Amino acid sequence: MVLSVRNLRFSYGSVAVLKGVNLKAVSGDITALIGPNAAGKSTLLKCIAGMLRPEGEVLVGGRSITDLSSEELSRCVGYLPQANFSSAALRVFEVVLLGRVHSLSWRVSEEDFDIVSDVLVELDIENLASRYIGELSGGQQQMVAIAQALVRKPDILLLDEPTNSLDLKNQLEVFEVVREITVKRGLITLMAMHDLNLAARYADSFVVINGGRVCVEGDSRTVITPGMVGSIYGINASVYIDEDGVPQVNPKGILRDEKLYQRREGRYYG
Amino acid sequence: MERMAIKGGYVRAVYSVIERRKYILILLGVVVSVFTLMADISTGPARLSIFKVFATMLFPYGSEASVRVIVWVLRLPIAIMAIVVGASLAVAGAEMQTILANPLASPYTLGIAAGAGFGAALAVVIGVGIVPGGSTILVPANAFFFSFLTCILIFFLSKVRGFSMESMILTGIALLFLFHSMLALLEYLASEEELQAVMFWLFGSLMKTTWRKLGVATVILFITLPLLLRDSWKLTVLRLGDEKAKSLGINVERLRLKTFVIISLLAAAAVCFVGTIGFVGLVAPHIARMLVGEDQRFFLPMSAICGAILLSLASIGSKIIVPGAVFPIGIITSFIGVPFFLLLIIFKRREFW
Repeated sequence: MVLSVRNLRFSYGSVAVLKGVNLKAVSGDITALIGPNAAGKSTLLKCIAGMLRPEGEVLVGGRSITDLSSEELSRCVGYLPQANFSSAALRVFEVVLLGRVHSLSWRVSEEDFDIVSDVLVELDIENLASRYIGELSGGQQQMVAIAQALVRKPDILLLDEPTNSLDLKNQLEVFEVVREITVKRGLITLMAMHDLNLAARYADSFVVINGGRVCVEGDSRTVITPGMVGSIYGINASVYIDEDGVPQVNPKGILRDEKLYQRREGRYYG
Repeated sequence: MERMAIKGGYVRAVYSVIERRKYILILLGVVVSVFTLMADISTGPARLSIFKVFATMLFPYGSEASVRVIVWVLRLPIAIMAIVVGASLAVAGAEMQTILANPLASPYTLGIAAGAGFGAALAVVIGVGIVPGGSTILVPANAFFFSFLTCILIFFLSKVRGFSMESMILTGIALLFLFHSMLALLEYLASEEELQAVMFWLFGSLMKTTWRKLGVATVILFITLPLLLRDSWKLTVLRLGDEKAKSLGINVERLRLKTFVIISLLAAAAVCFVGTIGFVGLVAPHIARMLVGEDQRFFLPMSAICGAILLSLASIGSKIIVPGAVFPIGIITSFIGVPFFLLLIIFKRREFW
C-alpha cells in the first residue's frame, strides 16, 4: 500500500506553513521526515492524521482520506503527538484500552481485552500493565503510546519526534520496536526526527522538509550529504559511510554565509 | 505463540482483579452511604435508634405517630437532600476537574457558587428576582439563575479563545471575584435582619429542604448523571491530554462544551437550594480518584458516593456539635473535610497531577 500526499497546503491564519507538499511513503518502510525546527514536519503529520484540515489530497491505497471524519481517520491512522502523557490516575492497561475508544462499550468486550493484552505482550511491556501511567519513564511511556496506536490496527503510523528527551538506549529501543512493527504489520510509518545519524540507521527513506516544502527525497545515501546538511541546517559537516554502509554526519560548526542563509529560508536549494 | 497466549492471559487476570476491586469499593461506598443516611435520620434533638429509623422507613404506619412525623416529615427529606446535593456537587467537581485538567476546579472555585450567593442576596436584600412570589421561591430561583448565568458567562467569554482550559478557568475565577464584591456591596447596603438572612444562606443549610425541592434536585441529578456516564470513555481519554485525545479522534472542544453545560445545570441546582457548600465538590473527586482511579465508569459513581457520604457526615456533625441546635452545615463540611483532605495530600502514595 502507498500513502501519497499531493500538493498539501496549510496555513495558521495568515502564516503559510505547508506550501504544497508532495511525497510518497510505502508500507513496510519507515519514512523519516527531517528538517529544521518550524519547517512544517509536525504540521504535515497533523494534516495527515486529520487533526488539521489542509488543502490538497492525501491518498491511501488510491483512496482519498482527506474527507473522512476525525473519528474514521483515527481508525486507520495511528498518530503519536509530541506531548507526553499527563499523570492521570490511569493504569497502562486502561490507557492502551483507550486506543479503542470508539469501539468500547460499557463492559469491555472479550475482543478488546484480547487485542490489548496481545499488543502489550507483542511490545514486551505486559509487566507494566497494572502500573500508573505517571510512574513510567519517558521510554516506557512512548512504548505505551505506540501500543495505544497499535490496538486500533492502523495502516499508517505517524510519530512526531518519538525519542525526544530519551536517553540513547531508550531511543534505540523505541526505534527498534517501530522498525519491527512496521515490517511485521506492513505499516506505512512516517516519523519526524532530528537525529540524522539515527534516522540514517533506522529509516528506509527520507523526506527533507524546509520552509513548508519538500526539498529532497530518497534513500539515506542520496539524501544525507554534506550539501544537504549545509544548505538545510546551515552547518558545516562531513559525512562518512560507516562499516554498515550507513551515512553518518559529523557536524563541525555553523556556516555564516549570506547565500547559505537564503538557502535555509528555502528560496533555493542547490 | 503459546507463550504469548499465557502472558496475555496473565495480563487479563491482573486487570480483572483490579476491576473487581473497583466494583467492590463502589458497593462498599453505597453501603456506607446508606448507613450514614440512617445515622443522619437518627440524630437530632430526639434521638432515635437506627433500628427504629429503619423500621419506620420500611413500615411508616407500624410506629407511633410522633416518630413517623420526625422520620418522614422532619428528617428524611433533609437527610436525602444531603446525599443528593453531596453527590451532585461531587459529580460537578469531578467533571470540572476532568474537562479543565485542573485539580483546583470545582463549582466553588469557578464562581458558580459565588453567583448563587449573589443571586440569593439580591432576593433577600432588594427583593428583586426573576420569578414573582415569596422569598421561599425567590431565593432559590434567583440563586439558580445567577449560578447558571455564571456558567453562561464563562461559556461565552471563553468562546473567544476556542474554549481553552486556561480561558475557562481564568474567566471563572474573575467572575468569582466580581460576584464576591457585588455580594459585599449588597451586604453593605443591607439592614441588620437582611444581613443575617444573607449570612445564613451563605453558610449553607439543609434546613429549608422540602420534598418538592428535594424532588427537583434529585430529578436533575438523575437526568444528568446518565448523560455523563454515556460519555465516560471519551471523558477518560480527555485526561490523557488534549493532543492525545484529538489524535484518538475525539472532538475535544465539543465534548468539553457539552460536559460543561451538563455540570453547570447540576451545580446550579445543587447550590441554589442549600447555599454555598463549596468544599465537597473539590475534595470528593480527589478521594474517589485515589480509591478507583480515573476510569470514568468508576470515577464518576465513586465521586458521587464520596460526596454523598461527606455531606451526610457533615449533616450529622451539624446536629451533634451544639446539642439542641443545628450548626450551619457549610462550616462543618470544611471542618471535617479540610483536615481529612490535608491528611490525604500528605500521606498519599501517588502524584496524580
